[in-house]
Amino acid sequence: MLLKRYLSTLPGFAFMTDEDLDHIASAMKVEDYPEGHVFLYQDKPARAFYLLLEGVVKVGYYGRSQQYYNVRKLKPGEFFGGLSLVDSKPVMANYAAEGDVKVASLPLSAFLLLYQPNSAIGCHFQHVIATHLASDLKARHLALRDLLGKMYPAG
Amino acid sequence: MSEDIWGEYRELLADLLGTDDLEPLLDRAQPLAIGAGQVLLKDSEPTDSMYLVLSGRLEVHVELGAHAIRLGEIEAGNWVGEVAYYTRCDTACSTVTAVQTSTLLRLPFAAYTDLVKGQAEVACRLTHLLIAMQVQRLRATVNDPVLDPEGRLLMLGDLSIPIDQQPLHHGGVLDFIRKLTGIR
Repeated sequence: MLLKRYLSTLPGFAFMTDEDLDHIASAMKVEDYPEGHVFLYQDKPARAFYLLLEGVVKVGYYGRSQQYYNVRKLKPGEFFGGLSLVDSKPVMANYAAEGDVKVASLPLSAFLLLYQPNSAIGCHFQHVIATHLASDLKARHLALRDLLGKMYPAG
Repeated sequence: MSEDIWGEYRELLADLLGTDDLEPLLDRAQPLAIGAGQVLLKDSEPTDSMYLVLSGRLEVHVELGAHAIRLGEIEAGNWVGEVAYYTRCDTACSTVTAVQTSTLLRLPFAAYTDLVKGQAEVACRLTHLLIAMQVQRLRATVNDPVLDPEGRLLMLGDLSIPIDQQPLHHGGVLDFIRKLTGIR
């Protein structure tokens, strides 16, 4: 798979130039990971920004009562890890491979260089991050709606 | 000479965006006044704009039928409605209602796209703010909702970022080094 071409198909990259895509694709490393590989641990800092290319990544977290909740399954084209990199705070959930997966990762140092908004590529990259976070927020709201459905099954 | 419809809010807007060059944004936006109890956005229904609260206060709920979870309040200086733009679904992902009479800046999605294409610097400052607000909301809604004494479901986190804590200026190299080394 040509990563640059794949990136150009993602919604957040709509304003990227061909040169921007070259820079970002060349800074990312594509690797295969086995079932169970944990990319991010809850309450630990993220050290990279990830893009799922093939397979499924499951997202879960320990709630207040230490019960474990499976909240979501990411599909190809979805990013993860951005929130923790943006605000330098710990990750809020565990992200682990369900089956074999292929993932592209952008190291923290490259992320922070790109996230600087003082350049055209930085502005375009911020659009990618805003799109990623909006997708997470929408998923959060859907999860809350599902919770309502379980609490009040009769409607 | 025509009246400046943004007059009393220019200082707030300049503070929020970290620039006095507001015309690229204001030329594409409209002011909107809504009364207490009026619904601005309805969960799962079509929307075509994002909104900045200039004065007043809004509250946000996720709804399913007759039931709802209150996520919190959007205070002056905070945006709402941007998720539908970025996710390209053009439907609201929550219900937003005015708690009190509020004045808003309405920025249609098409106008924001035009801003990104034609006025990159202003759009970038705005995107930077929107990211900060999305981060705040993701952190605020991480825990399970709780029941208040009257049996209503609500989230305990704070959805809004106070104006004096918003990222007024871009971080620059110093901020980059701080983040890289983990120094706050």
